[in-house]
Amino acid sequence: MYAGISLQQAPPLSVPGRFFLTAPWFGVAAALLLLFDGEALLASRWSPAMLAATHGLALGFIATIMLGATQQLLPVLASAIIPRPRPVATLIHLLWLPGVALLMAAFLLLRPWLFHAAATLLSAALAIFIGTAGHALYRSESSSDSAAGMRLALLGLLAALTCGVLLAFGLAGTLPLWRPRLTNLHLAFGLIGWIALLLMAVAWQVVPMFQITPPYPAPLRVRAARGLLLLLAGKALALGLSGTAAVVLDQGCNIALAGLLAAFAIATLRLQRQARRKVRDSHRDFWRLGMVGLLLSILCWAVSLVFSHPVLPLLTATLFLLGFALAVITGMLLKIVAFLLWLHLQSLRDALLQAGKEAFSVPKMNAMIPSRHGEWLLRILIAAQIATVVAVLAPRFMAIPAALLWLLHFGYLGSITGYAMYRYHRIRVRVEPHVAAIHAPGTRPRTTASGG
Amino acid sequence: MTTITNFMTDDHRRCDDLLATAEQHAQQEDWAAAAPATLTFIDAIEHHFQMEEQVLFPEFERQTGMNGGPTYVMREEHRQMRDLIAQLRAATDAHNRDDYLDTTETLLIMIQQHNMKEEGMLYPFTDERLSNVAEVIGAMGQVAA
Repeated sequence: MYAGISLQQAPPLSVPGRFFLTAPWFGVAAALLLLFDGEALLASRWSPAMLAATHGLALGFIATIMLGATQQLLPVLASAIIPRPRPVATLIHLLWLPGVALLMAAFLLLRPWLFHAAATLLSAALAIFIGTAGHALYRSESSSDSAAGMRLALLGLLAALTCGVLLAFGLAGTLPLWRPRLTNLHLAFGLIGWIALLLMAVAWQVVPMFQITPPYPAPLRVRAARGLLLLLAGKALALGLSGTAAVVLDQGCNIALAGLLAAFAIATLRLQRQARRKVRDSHRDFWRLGMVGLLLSILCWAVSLVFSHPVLPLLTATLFLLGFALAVITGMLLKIVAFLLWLHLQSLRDALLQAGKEAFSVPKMNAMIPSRHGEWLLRILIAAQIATVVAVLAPRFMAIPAALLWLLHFGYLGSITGYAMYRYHRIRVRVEPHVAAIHAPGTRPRTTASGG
Repeated sequence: MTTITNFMTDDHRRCDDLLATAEQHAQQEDWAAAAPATLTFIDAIEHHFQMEEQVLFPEFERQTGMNGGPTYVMREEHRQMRDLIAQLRAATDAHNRDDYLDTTETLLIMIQQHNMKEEGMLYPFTDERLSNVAEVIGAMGQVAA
């Protein structure tokens, strides 16, 4: 074991940057759908606008950020390095963006060719992502739990993608449309096997280290992640069975999944209460909000076991996607962007100093993304979440206010991160002519590489 | 038997705790408590850097022959953290709460992403590869605080 070790190769800023810059605008697109077609959108989980909006959010916003963040975090969390990160990121991004846009258009217009084109582009993008990230992760000899968790999350993503492609071909009329059973499996793998699993794998490191808490209990780390994936496999198996056996297996898996996710959310909230770091930090509040959203989503699902009402599955998914995933991801995004900008500005400064030039003082994270922005975003997010939950119950009155709040949320988020990156870019353009080469943080300057 | 991973990870957590304490005093603008607490944290983290730079990294380089790779990156990150620590010292001396908290926010993430790499990769690698783990731990314990 440990044949080689490498701690360098932080990817260039443009690798995650392109994903972070584009993601919020898919959120804006989803909010516009809610604004102009709100009542029809919220009428059913199968309405065309609903499917377009949820995929805009889940793929366009959430998954886009997760794709970018994974490429950035692999070296840190899992000592895994994607070779040639820039062309890989370019290719994934160029396939992914039109893929998501075409999929949203396909749901709205219901044209077979749009489904075919979207499925092709999205599967090509994800095949490259899963191939490169998976290769890096399986080669990595990191002993961290997060590395193991990220490997499992990639399997979840692969399964979600497979179901999604089959469904897209079903909607295009090329294959029989296996709805709702395959849809439910697609949702389970996408929401739990990929989104929740990856966020859990990140949480094991990020929550204890950034908030200075005790570690997660061991059973809630890799074992829980393996459990989630096995239970999802159980649900897939139930799909092949029929009659009572299928129902019992599927529902048994659902109950265990809900239990595991609830245990994770409760553990996170408990750890946060034991945090040694007491300083106010909206990052912590985004995580807390996300865990409350996850618990409410599970509660909603549990109620649906007793009372069957069409609004309950819709509320469960809304709370999971908007309450849990979106909150955690928004908080993480602000922190990651601010830190990355600081780190890369630090490299610019080092390059200037090495060239014997006068250096500038590097603005710290709070100067690039002031904490008041995080605090305001948190408030807007909570308002948008509450408005959406009410809108699910009373679409006629609340769809438009909810849509406006989401427009504000995503527009604000896109502007904050966009403006911070623009400021970085301006400094970089000013500095670049004065230095021979700028090295990504954590990489060795070539001039001294032979010095050993 | 103690491993390098356990020994050094415990020391990371000790430094984290000291930083959290100092930061809390600074947030309350209780400089009479914040100033000594900050110094205690700075001494602890500097001691940690010294254990690595004087003992662990040279031993790693000697036994693996890897001179330019991981230890180079880790030393560079120590340098960046020391820059921030100097700014933290200045903010403490100036009793400037906002500067202080801005610095600890950035420093904390810098420290933690550094620790993740060490705890996830470098320390387990040294436990696996170095022939004299107990001796290395002993020598690190001898580094002046």
